[in-house]
Formats: sequence, C-alpha cells, structure tokens
Amino acid sequence: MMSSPRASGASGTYVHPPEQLVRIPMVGGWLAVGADLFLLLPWFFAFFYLEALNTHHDWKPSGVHPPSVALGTLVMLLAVGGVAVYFVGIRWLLDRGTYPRFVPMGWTAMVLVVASIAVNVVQLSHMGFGVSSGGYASVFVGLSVVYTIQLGVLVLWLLAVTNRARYEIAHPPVAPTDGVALSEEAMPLEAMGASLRVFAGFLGAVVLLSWLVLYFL
Amino acid sequence: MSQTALLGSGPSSRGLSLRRVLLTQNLLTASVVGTILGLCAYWLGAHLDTTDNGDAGILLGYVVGSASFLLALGFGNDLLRYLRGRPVAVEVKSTGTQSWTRYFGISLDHKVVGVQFGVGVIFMFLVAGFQAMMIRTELLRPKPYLWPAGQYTALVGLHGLMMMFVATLVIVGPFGNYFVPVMIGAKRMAFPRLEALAFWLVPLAAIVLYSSIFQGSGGGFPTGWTGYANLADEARAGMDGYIVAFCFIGTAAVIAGINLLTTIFVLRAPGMSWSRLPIFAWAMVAVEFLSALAPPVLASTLIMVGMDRAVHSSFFLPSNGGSPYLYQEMFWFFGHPEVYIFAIPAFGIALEMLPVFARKPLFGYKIGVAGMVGLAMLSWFVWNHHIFTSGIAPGLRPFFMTATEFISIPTGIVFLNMLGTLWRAKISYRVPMLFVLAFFFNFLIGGLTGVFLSDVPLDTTLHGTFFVVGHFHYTIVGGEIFAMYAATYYWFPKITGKMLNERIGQIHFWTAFVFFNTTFMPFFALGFLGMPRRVPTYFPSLQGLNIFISINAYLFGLSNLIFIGNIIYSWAFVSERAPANPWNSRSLEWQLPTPIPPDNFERIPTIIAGPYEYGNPTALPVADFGASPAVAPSV
Repeated sequence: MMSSPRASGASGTYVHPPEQLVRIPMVGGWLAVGADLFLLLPWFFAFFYLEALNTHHDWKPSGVHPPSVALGTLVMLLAVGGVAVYFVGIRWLLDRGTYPRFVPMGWTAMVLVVASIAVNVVQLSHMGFGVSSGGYASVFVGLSVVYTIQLGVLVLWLLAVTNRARYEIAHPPVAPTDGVALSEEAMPLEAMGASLRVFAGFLGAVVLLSWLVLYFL
Repeated sequence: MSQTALLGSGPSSRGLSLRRVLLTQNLLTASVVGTILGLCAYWLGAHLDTTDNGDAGILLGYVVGSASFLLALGFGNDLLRYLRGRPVAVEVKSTGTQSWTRYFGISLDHKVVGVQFGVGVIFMFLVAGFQAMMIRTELLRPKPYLWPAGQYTALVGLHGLMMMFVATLVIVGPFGNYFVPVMIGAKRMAFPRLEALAFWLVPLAAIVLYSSIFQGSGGGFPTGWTGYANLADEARAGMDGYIVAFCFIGTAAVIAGINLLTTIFVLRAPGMSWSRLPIFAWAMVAVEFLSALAPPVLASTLIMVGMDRAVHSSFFLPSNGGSPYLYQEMFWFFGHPEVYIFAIPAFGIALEMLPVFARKPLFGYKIGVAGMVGLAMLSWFVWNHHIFTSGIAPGLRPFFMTATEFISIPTGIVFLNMLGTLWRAKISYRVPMLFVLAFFFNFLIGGLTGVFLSDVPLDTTLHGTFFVVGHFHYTIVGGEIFAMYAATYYWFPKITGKMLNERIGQIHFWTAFVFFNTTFMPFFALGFLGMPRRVPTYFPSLQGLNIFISINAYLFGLSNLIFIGNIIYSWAFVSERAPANPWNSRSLEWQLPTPIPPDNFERIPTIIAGPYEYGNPTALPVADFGASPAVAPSV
C-alpha cells in the first residue's frame, strides 16, 4: 500500500522514502519492549526482595501455597503456543508474502491467547488465598494481572494485523504510477507484523519466566 | 504545494463510529463525557469496594474518566480503524488557513503539539510557583499561622510534584517536539498520534493531581513528592490522585521518549550523520532513553501502592510480609535517572546556543556527546545515595558514594565543552546568551553541592534539611528552568514570527538571576543550621533569614510575571515581524521560512555540512534544499 516516492533516499524527495518508513514500527517496537521490560522488572524484583526479607515470616504464611500448577501450566502453554503460531504465520508472510495462509494462523494465535487469559482469570478467582495473605500472594496477583493485561494488548494487536491481512487480500496493492508521490500512505502489513513479532516474543518469554518464578521458586 | 499540513484519518477527517455516537468530538464534549463517566465509575467502584476506605472507587473513577475523556476527544477513531485492519495514513494535504482551534484538539502536526506543551507547561509552572509563594508566606513565622501542619505538608507535596511534572516536560515537551524533527530534516514525527496522546495526558495529570485537594479530610497527600510507603499506604484519599497523576505523567514521558528516539533514529534526512546531528538532538537521544525506561519502574511501583491501598495487598506493609524499603529502592531507581531527565536537556540547550552567540564552532562536539551519554548511563547506578540514611547495608555505601562522585566526570566534560567554546570568543550578550551563562553559573553551584551530598558522612548530617532543597532547586530551577528561559527567547521568533522584547528580556534576566540566587543561596545556610524540610516549624533564631528568603522569593516570582508579560506583549501587541534568522544560526530550523510550513520541508533536504562551523569562511551551507531554498544559510 506504499506509494512510490520520486527517488527514494535521494535529495529532494517530497516524502520520506518507504525503506525509511518501514523501519518506524520495528524501531518503535523494540523501544516499547525496552520500556515494557522496565515495567515488569519491579514485579520480579519485589518477588525476590520480599522473599529474601521474609518479614515476620509472612512471605508465605502457613496455608498459602502456589495455586493449581496444572492451571498455571495451561495458562503458560496457551500463551506461548499462541506466540509460536503467530511466529510461524508471520514467517510465512514475511518470507513468501502469503497473506491468505497467514490469516488462519493469526486467528488461531488469537484464540489461544484469549484462552490463556480466560484460564488465568479462572486461576485468579480460585487461588485458595486472598491478595492480602502476605508477600507472595501480593506478588502473585500483581504480576499475573499485569501480564494478563499485556496478553490483552497482544490480542488487540493480533486482531489489527490479521484484519489488515484480510483487508490486503480484498484490496490488492495498486502498482506505483509514474507520477510524483505527494503522500505517505499507511504502514505496510509486513512492518506491522514484524514489529508485533518482537512484542509477542518478549511477552511469551515473560509468561514463561513468570510461570517458573511464581509456581516453582 | 503551498501550504500543506500533516493530517490523519483521525478525529476530523473521517467520520467513523465514535463521531456517530457523539455529535462532535471536541474539548467540551470530551470534558463532559469524561466527568460524567468518571463519576459513574467512582460510584460503581465505591459500591463494589468491600474495604472501608473507598480507594477502589476513586482509582476506578480517575482511570475510567480519563480514558473516556481521551476517547471522546477522538483518540479512539484511528484505534478502531487499526483494529478493523483499515490503513491509517499520515497524509500530506493542502489545508489553506490554519485555525487557532487546532490547539484545542488532537493535532498530528508536531509544531502544534509543541505549542500545546509550551502553553500547558508554563501554566502548570505558574500554578506550582504560586504555591511556592504560599509556602514562603507560611515560613515568614517560625510556627504555623496560615495552615495547620498537615495542610502545609500537603501544600509542599502538591508544589513538589507539580514542579516535577513541569521539570520532566518543560524542554522535551515544547522544544523537543517542535524542533527536533525540523533540526534533523524530517517532515514529521514517527508516531504523530502518540505524540498528541503524550500531550493530552499532561492536563489530565494536572487535573487529577489537583482534584486530590478535595479528597478526604484535609485534602492532598501527606508524603511530599516522593510518596514514601508505608505512609502512602495509610494516607487519606488524596493519595490516589498522586498515584494516578504520576502514572499519567510517566506514561506521557515514555510515549514522548519512544517517539522522539524513533524519529531521530529513522527519519534523519540524507547526510544527517550521527556526527552532524545537532547537539540538542543528541541531548534528546540521551535523555529519551532515560524517559522511555525509568518511568515504567515508577508506574509499577505506584500500581503496587494502589493495590496496597485499594485491595489491601502487602507489598510495603511490614506487618503483613511487605517492606517499605522495597518502595524506596524502586522509587529511587526511577528517581535518580529522573534527575538527569531534567538536567540533560538543559545541557543540550546550552551547548546548542553557545556556538551561535560565541560565533565559534562547538568545542569538543564528540566528547560533549560522550559526556551526555555517559551521564545518562551512570545515572542508573547511583540511586542508593538517596537512601543512605534509611538503613541500607553499610557495605553498599562506598560503592554508591563513589558511583555518584563519578557523575561529576561527564558533567565536568560538558562544562569543559562550554568553557572551550567561550574561550577567546566574541560573545554576543543577547538575552538567550545571558540565560545560558546564568545556567552555567547556577548549575555549577547545584552540581558542586551535589558532590557534597554524595558523601556519606555529610549526607548523614544534611539529609532532610534545607541544604538538599537548595541543591535541587539550583539544578532544576537554576539549571533547567533558566535553560527553558534561554530556549524561549532563542526560538520564540521561529515559533511566532515575533521577537521577544530585548529590553524587557534584560529586566527579566537580571531580576530572575539576582533574586533566584538571593532566594536559594541562603537555603544552604539554613540546611547547615539544621532547618528541616517539609516542616512549618523552625527555630525562632532562623526567622530573620527566612523573612529575607521569602521577600526574595516574591521578587523571583515577580520576575516570572515579567517573563509571561513579555511573551504576551511581544506576541499579541507588537506588529513588527522578526527576521527569519535573527541570530544568524546555521541550524536547519533557522534556514526555513517563518512560520515553518506545516510539513516542514517541501522536499527532504540533503545535509552537506555540520551545524557549528561558525567563523569558517569556506564552510558549506548546512543543507541543499533541492528546488525550494528558503532563507539564505549563514556562516
């Protein structure tokens, strides 16, 4: 969907050349992941800090144990599975430009991540302890809610990319004309998809790490 | 292509969905919708809240009200288009005349957003400055006589936090957004919608913060700007406003950081190599890494405080498995990089202007860049010096003391850049340059007193006294705010097409410089004499010094009214147009006509020389503008 600028990269172009513009979502995506990393670090820091202090032995008071490991594992597998499916789909799209094959993969990834959120909601409502039951309970609820919200963001982003692929199938790009381009049009699907791959991969790693920390440490 | 503008598919150009629900999308509609839905969410949250304090309702009300405001303003339109898979364009379209109403809505033009930031931040600065006058009035007497001690503490907290908001954004918001794309030869920001969102979060934060006055008995929050747990856990309902407002400003800083960094990384014009990048843009690179990474730590910390208050989790309550030290560690892990979010843009301003008024190349450009980047990196390793007296492990103190003292090395490098540029220069003492020189003096004192405070024995004595208050006012007000004055006088002609009155500017400079120093220099003496901060009661023997400070503070406040008066007078009542390049600067923004066209450059320029080759008669013009040369480049 990118119009052709007059002479990309050369002096005097009316608009920024496409090879510049496609880098925007990728660079922005990496920076956003950096910011997200610093958003999540305090929760892991709180886990280890409060566990190490174990003030008044209230890190895990008697009766507080990690909730169902089976459900927690299911949450992790669904989320990581969704990310993996998206990785395969976006690789087909980027390597072969096969929009029709990407769409079902996008939907599948979305369904898996939504299922992961749903199972996590069930898990949070049947923990066997309250949020006020010591340090572990606080970190468990806080970290779980924070990454679940981020899984929600991932679903929305997947929805945008998958719907965009459907739109591209229905409205194939028009070949550039010889005229001088005066407008920058929308970001190409490939750039959006590659940027989402960075975020999805990061979030998959976060869910995996959270599962290890919250259930096994 | 004459007058063109960057337009989106956003609020005004495509009537989709939300527009059909709401009759129009404007500031009034958004305010009404945000208020009504916020109150509904508050009511709902208060009824669902099983605890006795109502914090859940207040937090829910703030978040839902703010989100509704943004959606009703039009931020949801393009989001819906994205979700539906429709292409969302940033198009170059002919727009004809530019209405002033564009300043009251979502704009995708970075220059409009820059002006929005400028006006908004100056308004917040005046409000918080007025509170400073209230504080000084209370301190005219050694015992509380205007407000009870609790309200005085709330006043100090509101002043401190609002000034933190101002300091975070006062250079990056107006000047970073307005000029960085132009300085690097870009036609627009990388993410124009996010840029608009970053601005609109700022007034929301200010409103939420001041609404805390009406929450709970006494109003406000009792913690000062640092919001320490577990006082924050137990504070009255106004603390919720602190949490939400600080989160909004943090979010705005993150968005602005990601946006400016992406713009600089990706949208530089051909020939704009890293070694030709204006030093102000380099300062933005250094500071925006801090801006993108530090506030998320704060956001998570504040979410934990909110959870402790609303659902009785126990991150910071030692009686239930938490620890208040956890708060201090995480808050200052954000808080010290935040200090350099204030300082580095001021360095960028000073280094950008010195060559222009010294008519010499910038001395040690690459070393200066390394100095600013080094400052940004070192700022991550010093946070524990803020909590030397909180009971940290004694073995950690030498490391953090040494790391903090290392900070003086990159700072010293930047000062050497400034001195080297001034060496044997024929300095033009125009108002912007006067403020840069004042910044130089003030920040030197602020920096040196910082070295004192990094020293463990001295910090143990001076912690919590007015010495600390004097130190950070010298760096933030004497440093950053004076750089903001300089930047305003320097770039005002390019923004408005009018020069700020030079004579009024000189009066502003001398009153500000003299009364700033006579106000804050005695703070160091008060600190040595043991006067504590955030407390309205002090030894009667210190009353004379406090009266002297208060009178000078009023006069410093008056100098700011002169500044505002100069802006209003020069903008509204002077008809004479400013020259397109009144300072004979080589920087790219000054080679463009005034006002800068909506899409900056008709064609993307090719950069062929550096911006600081002053005094070199063989220097090439800074850029080739293709078929549309603007103002003749100067040497």
